[in-house]
Parts: sequence; C-alpha cells; structure tokens
Amino acid sequence: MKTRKTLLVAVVLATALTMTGCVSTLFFPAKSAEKAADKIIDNIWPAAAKPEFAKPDAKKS
Amino acid sequence: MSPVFSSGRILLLSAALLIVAQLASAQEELEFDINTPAIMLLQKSMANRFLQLKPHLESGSVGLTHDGAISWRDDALIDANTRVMIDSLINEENKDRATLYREIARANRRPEWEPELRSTFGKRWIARLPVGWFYRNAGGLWEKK
Repeated sequence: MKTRKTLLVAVVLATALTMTGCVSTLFFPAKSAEKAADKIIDNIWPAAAKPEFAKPDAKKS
Repeated sequence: MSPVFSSGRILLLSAALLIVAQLASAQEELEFDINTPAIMLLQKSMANRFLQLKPHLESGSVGLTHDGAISWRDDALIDANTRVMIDSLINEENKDRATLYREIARANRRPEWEPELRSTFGKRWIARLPVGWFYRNAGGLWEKK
C-alpha cells in the first residue's frame, strides 16, 4: 500500500512538472512581445520621443 | 484523516494549482532576445531608411498597415522618378520588416510565433504612430492618426 502511494506521488509530481514546463512555452507571451516591439521601434524611430509623436504606452490608435 | 482530504487528493489539487499558476504567469516569464547581430543590423538598416521614408509618411503618400508593413496610400502628387524611389524604399522596408519578425522568432527558438510577432508589431507601430500619419486598418480602410 505504501509503495503504491509513493508511486502515485511520483507519477503525479512528474506529470505536473512536465506539464508546467510545457505550458510556459505553449502560449505566446504577448506582453513580452509588446515590450520587445516597443524597444525596437524606439531604436528605429528615435524621433518617437518628440512631443508630436504618440506616447510610447499609448495603445489606442 | 477524512477520505475527502486524502493525501492523493491534496497532491492532485496541488498539481492542478501549480499548473494554473504557471498558466497565469507564462506570458510574463519569457523575455525576447532582440540583441542578436542580425536583429541589430536590421534595426540599423530600418533606422537609416526611416529618414528617407519620413517625409512621405508625413505627407500621407505612404502609410502603415495593420499587419506590420508599410504601403502606398496616395501617389497622386508624386512624380514618376520619386515614385520609383519610394517604391524601392517600400519594398526594402517590407523585406526588412518580414526578416525582422522572422529573426526574432528564430532567435528565440519559436519560429511558429512569427505571425503573432508580426501582428504585435503591427499594433505597436500603429500605437506609436505620430498624429497626422496614416495607417490601414484590418478592414482595409485608411485612417488618420
């Protein structure tokens, strides 16, 4: 009985750990992508800091 | 211990919570690597080209598109020679942009994310667009920022 319980614990933990590892790469990280896009846009459009440009965090068009 | 709180159930509940917590934080964890030589080079090339494109973006002859590219909006007042030059700028810019999205996906070992990256860039370019510049929305209509 004890061996069976230990085996169950091991199986459940291994499954959970494997799934959490997969989950982190399954979904597109939208916020991080926006951050990366903003950095690159800043580099390409350096004048974007000027007042006549939209504010960097402005998400509405 | 009551069967309701058996160690097996607690363990399963913990595993489920672990997965849910991971799901919630998955989006925040990854930081895109955008400092590869190829990506840096593309940025430099696009920054240089931006200086040439800027007057045409300001005049409204050229605009941004929702899918992270640029396009002609109105070439009525452009003479033939300038049109050829702008055509070339647009083609080169779109080529660089497509390569940029692909390179970011590739550098981060997720080539399948290229369409999402393109779409994200499309939204961010438009969000950062100066007042008075034009962009083409997903419905194909030109709008003035």
